[in-house]
Amino acid sequence: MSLSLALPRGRLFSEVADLLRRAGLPSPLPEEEGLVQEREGFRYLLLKPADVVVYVREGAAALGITGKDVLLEGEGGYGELLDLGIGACRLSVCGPFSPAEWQDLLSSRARELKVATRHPRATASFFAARGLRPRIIVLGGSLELAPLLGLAEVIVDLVATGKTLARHGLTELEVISSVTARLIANPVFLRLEPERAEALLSAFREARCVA
Amino acid sequence: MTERAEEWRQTTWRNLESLLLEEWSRWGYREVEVPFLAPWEVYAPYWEGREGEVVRFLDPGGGIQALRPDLTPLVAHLVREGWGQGERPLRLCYAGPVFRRASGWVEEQRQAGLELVGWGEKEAELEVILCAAAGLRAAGVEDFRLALGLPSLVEKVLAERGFGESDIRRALGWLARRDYAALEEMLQGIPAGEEIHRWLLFGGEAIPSTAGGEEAASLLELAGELSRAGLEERVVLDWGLVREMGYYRGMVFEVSVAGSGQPLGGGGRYVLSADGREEPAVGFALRLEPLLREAVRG
Repeated sequence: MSLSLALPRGRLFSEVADLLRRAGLPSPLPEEEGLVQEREGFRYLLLKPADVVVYVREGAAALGITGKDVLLEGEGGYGELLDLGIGACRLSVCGPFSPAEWQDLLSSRARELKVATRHPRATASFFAARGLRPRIIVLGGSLELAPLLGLAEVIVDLVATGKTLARHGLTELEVISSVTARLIANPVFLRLEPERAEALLSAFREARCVA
Repeated sequence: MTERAEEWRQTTWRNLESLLLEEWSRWGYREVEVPFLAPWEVYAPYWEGREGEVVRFLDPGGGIQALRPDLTPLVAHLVREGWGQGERPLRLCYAGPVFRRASGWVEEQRQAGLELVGWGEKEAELEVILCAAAGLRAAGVEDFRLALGLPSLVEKVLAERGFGESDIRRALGWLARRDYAALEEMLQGIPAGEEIHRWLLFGGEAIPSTAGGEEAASLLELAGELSRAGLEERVVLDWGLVREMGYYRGMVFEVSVAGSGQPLGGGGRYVLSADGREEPAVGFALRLEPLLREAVRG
């Protein structure tokens, strides 16, 4: 029976395709070729990164690859097997001012602070650790617009090169956590097919990028 | 869902529940009715750190009530309050819904389970696991796996490698959440660290430790007994198995079925304490939604 592997569409996809090749697995085709692809004993499911977790948790995929930032938002229900080292970026607080101005804002106006993000859980726990409870505004995308349009003072988002930020006049103010792609597995799959799981885990271990 | 379909669903719930309860009554377990509401104190010691999942509210007297998030603490509480007094070992079984907060709504899950109180011997663990297997078979589910684990052995193995109490707590937390990547990082550079990680993740009979030999032997013996009782194809050793509920002390087990996504349920040994007196107990609960799906499919 073919093994279902949930893969993230978008930002991570090309690095994931390279990784699969290095691990000796068939290459997934671009998403235009179909979101479900049968490839030599594997069924690749091309999903939104956040949905990878859901498919793996519910057992619709045995294994999955997605960003650590997605895992930080989720409820669990999967085994986190490996840091794959790809898709390296940071989950950071960013805003249209300098780090010094940010510190000023934190000390003077922290209570009125509004933060726009796609990562409410990580954001809330980052600020809660400093005793702050800013109003968190959850958006689906294009976070850079939020400070420009007065929706929020700062955003919490993934930053890779910082180019998008710079283009919108935003600065990376504080890093919440570093983020890489992770290999996750369905717990029942791990228990029922340990040999298969172990073989795939060592293939990915060999193929991953070690910093 | 049409009215007819809902009726079918309800009927099937009841069928499945009575199937399990009847099977367990043959093993000497008496069905008990457990209230839906109980004072939060009943659950507090068991649900520490997971309070957010419990539906709680103020009663008119100013006390905090909880809608039951699971059944074991409540049965334990009622036994402490005098249920089945003088009756040891005490065998109780139950079925019904539990309620938990998911993100943004309240989820209702059906569970059925049993508790065996006042028997500290290995035989009690054997009996309870055999009851779980008998229940699954009564529901028509044959192709299941029973994973056995022993968190206290993990503690000993890690202590032997020089890890302190707080590291060991963290490692057990990662195992409960199945964060094997974090565990691997902790074991990096430790003698036989890779071997221990592999052992926790994929099992096997060889223990990479000289510590806890006696405990390991007791779990292997239990696995052997279960095999002799006709479960040799079903029992697996899962040394990294740590249940999310923190109240277990000793052997734990979990039931999985292919295609069920998440384990159907599980249980283990725990300690019932009342008035400074401690009593050994073993119990488990199964989630009925996935079991029903399996039963219908099977």
